[in-house]
Amino acid sequence: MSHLVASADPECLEQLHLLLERFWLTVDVPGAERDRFTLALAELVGNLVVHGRRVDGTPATLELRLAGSPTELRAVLEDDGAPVPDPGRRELPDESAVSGRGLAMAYAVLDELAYERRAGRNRWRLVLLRAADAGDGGAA
Amino acid sequence: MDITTEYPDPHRVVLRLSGRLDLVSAAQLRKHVERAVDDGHVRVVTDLAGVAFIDSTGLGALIAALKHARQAGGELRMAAAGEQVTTVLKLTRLDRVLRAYATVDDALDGL
Repeated sequence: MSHLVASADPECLEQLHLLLERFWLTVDVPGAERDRFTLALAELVGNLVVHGRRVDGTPATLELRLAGSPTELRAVLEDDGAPVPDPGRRELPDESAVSGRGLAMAYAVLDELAYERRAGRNRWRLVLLRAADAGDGGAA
Repeated sequence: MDITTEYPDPHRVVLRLSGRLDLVSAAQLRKHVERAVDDGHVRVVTDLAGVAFIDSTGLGALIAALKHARQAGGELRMAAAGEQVTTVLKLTRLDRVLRAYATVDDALDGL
């Protein structure tokens, strides 16, 4: 289990990438699946960096847990900021838009992405199902 | 992210990007492109060979840069995009908007 607790400011994206680099040392995952999982997490954490504020305006604190197996990659991302306004938004904006793609991209690269608001916290659960023939014979 | 700038001639500019093109670095790219275009280098090539990761904000910066170049009568082309960048462009269907070339020389050809 890989774990990160950080304030939702731009530095936490660097921490996310460092956490993932260490995570990939513990699970044998091909590049395309790494890229999908990394992109989804970067988009969700990036949204927190931009929008993740508590009621008093201070940056939210985020908590991220990662787990991997030969069949799937999982993450749970929680924060204590204000509720996410439109967590189900899956449509890509117009081609000329300069923002508003992040959440749609996260939905597109994951097999499951679920949001819930519970006890004053936002909670995202991410699942990426790994290809059966991926890796070097590990997925028995 | 590191960005180095080359000027093959008075109207063209090549921006070589290195690092992650994401929420943290997107504004830096936009500024570089705006400065170059406003100085008259309206035909822009972004060399993405050194970019291993792009996110939605990085894509937004490329779209904004393309618009800025076109408003000045120029164009923006991308060169040497790696696997992650290519995948994300297809995923968002922006491969139809942001023209990708295999090499910087290919992108400069006819620009």
